Amino acid sequence: MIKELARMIKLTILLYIICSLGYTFLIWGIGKIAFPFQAGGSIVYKNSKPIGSMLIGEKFTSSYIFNGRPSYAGNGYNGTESGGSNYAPTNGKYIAVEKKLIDRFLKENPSVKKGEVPADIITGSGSGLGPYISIAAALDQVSRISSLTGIPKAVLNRLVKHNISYRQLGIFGTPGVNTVKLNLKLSLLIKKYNFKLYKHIFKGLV
Amino acid sequence: MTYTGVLQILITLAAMVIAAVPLSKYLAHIFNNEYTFLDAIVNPVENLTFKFLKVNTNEETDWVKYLKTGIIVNFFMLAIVYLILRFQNFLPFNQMHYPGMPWALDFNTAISFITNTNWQNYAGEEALSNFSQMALVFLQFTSAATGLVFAVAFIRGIVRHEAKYVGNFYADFIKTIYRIFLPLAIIFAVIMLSQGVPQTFIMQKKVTNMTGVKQKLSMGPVASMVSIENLGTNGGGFYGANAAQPYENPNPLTNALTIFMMGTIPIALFLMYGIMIGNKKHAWTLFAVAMTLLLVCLAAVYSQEAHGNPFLAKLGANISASKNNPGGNMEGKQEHIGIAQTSLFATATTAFTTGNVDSAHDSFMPLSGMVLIAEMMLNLIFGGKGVGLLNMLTMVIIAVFIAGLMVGRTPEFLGKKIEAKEVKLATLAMFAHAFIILIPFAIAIAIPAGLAGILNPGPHGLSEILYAYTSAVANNGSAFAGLNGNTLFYNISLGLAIFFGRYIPIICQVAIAGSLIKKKSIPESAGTFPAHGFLFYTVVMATILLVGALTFFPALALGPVAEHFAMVKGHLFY
Repeated sequence: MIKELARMIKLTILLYIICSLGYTFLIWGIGKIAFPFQAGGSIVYKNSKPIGSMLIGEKFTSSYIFNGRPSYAGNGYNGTESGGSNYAPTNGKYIAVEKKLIDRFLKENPSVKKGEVPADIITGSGSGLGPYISIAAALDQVSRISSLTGIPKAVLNRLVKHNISYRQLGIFGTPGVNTVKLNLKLSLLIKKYNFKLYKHIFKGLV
Repeated sequence: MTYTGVLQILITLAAMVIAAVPLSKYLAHIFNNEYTFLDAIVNPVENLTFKFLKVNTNEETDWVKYLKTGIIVNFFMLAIVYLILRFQNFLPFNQMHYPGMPWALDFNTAISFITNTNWQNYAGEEALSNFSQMALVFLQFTSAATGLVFAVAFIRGIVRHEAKYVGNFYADFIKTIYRIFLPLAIIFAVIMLSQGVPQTFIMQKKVTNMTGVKQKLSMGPVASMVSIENLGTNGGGFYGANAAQPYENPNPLTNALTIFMMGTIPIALFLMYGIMIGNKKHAWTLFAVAMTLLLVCLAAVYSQEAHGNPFLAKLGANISASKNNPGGNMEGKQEHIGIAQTSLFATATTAFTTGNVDSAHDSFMPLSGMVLIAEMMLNLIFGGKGVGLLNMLTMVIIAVFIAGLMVGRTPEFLGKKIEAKEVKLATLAMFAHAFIILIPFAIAIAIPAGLAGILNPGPHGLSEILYAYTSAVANNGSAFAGLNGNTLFYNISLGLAIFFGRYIPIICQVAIAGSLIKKKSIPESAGTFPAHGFLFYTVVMATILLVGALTFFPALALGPVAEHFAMVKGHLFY
């Protein structure tokens, strides 16, 4: 029996070394060599300072730029506290929150009619960190951004259309717009049209 | 529901079935000790391992020894991980200086991972060091292998006759890890890495966003966990939000790939069973039963989610899908991944009892939530590693028994007489599952400690608790995450539910194998009830639905069904 137990403990330790340590380090090594950018979290640098990740949404609340979805990760887009609202569809408190979010979106974007607010822009993503909004949600914000920044609407519409992430392989997913990518491109436009505003909004870039 | 949505669902499912066919052949070769293409590489390593362990692979044991070895080995593995989590503050890779896990939470977590459940009452990025996360990866390999080898022992019980021995636990276990899980985990980890899943030993990176906002990003060895977490149908992710966190699931393609990882091996196990018993038609019939259930559940979830929340429409949101607006119930879902992929993910994760989530199940429409709970209650729609097949076969034994009663003949199943002992054990396995869900659930909704965890008011709160115990006992691990499970009451009660929910059915099922293996094989006669074809399909399906409905419908009626009708009437809960 003791011999048998010793064998079981040996098996446990051996597999721990292989499956926990060996395996993890092997994948780490492959990442280091073959995919260093992805393995490091797809971090974007500007002036050699890290400004965020292409995969993780950011807190875009300023009216001058494209806003993302509401976030329930910490105080909003906190990369260390992923999580959704977990509200049930019949929770009265949730519907009250939604009423505020919808009314605010309508007020900030007067060009949008009631009944036409995109379903995603007033709901939180599952992790609170999703960077994507729908194409409709991006286009709906063009009028507001145009009137505040002075960039012509046609230019902004073109910007959105050039930054659409389509279905992958033409099949998988739903088309959307990555707000991190979109706002980075928008920063170049604002820099061109209104440099003072640029310095004011994009503090992390200057 | 959109045309493109249905198309991407069908493509993902078809890919799984197509890949499962060759995989099933490979699996059958492994457990029949036949030649496989990996022999040249794996054999030397394997032989070295057996030498080190002093295991003679030709020495087989009876079912009692096989089961005992498996369970004791599980205990040692549980112990090592319990200690690592408890004392992670003294161990490496803990730059954030996270303290050791409190004992009750650690008890819950360690049990949850050794049983392939991966229920998480903690958020990985806020509580665990990278070293602890890696320890959980170890259990993700071994718990999946444990379930799988017990299923193999069961199959040998059917195949062999007038015999005693079901196999050598060590040999089957090592082969499962070396020849199935390790190679696949490495391949898929690298694919996920290439798509943007991090693999680093840095725990947190501080950045200043373009708008000047300071942001902290959590990272770690995520890619290595994501692959085995899904391949092993474990489901415990690196982050609190699991695959809803973009680092675990960056794009729609990885979402489809994750579903593929979850489903392919369980489907292949059904087909492997057919090859090993030499009756492929029988296995394909059981496949059809499981696939029918999966498609029905999927259609229900997808239609509900695509339809969206009527309360939001009333407030001014546009919940119908159009070219630029995804519509539907987007609360808790990722925009780019979309309603179709998310519905498939949720249906798959509860069918294959993975428990990984790419969305907030708590925010699903009431009837979709009900379907997800029901899938875990049945726990045989392909199911987790090995146990899904075992549960299906348990139900088949009961179905064959009932069919035998109806025609007044001793029931037979694949040439073996099904007698009182097998039926008793099968019934015990089935009822244990139901009892361990419903009794603690009833206790939890009757005492303050249970009710304290609820987030959402009204019948949805009841659903949260029901989901928790169902997920625990089915060893699924997904949650209606509004429920706060990190309390003494839930840590202990869910931990125990997980433990008994795993081992009682498995003990009964391997015991059935031990009883079947001794029996004579009787040749097929004109009076034999064929174990394939439409009649067999109907009998099995009817048994599943009757048993499932009679056992669980009352609980579901009080939760999601009540919530749905209240919603239709425009009633909100406060």
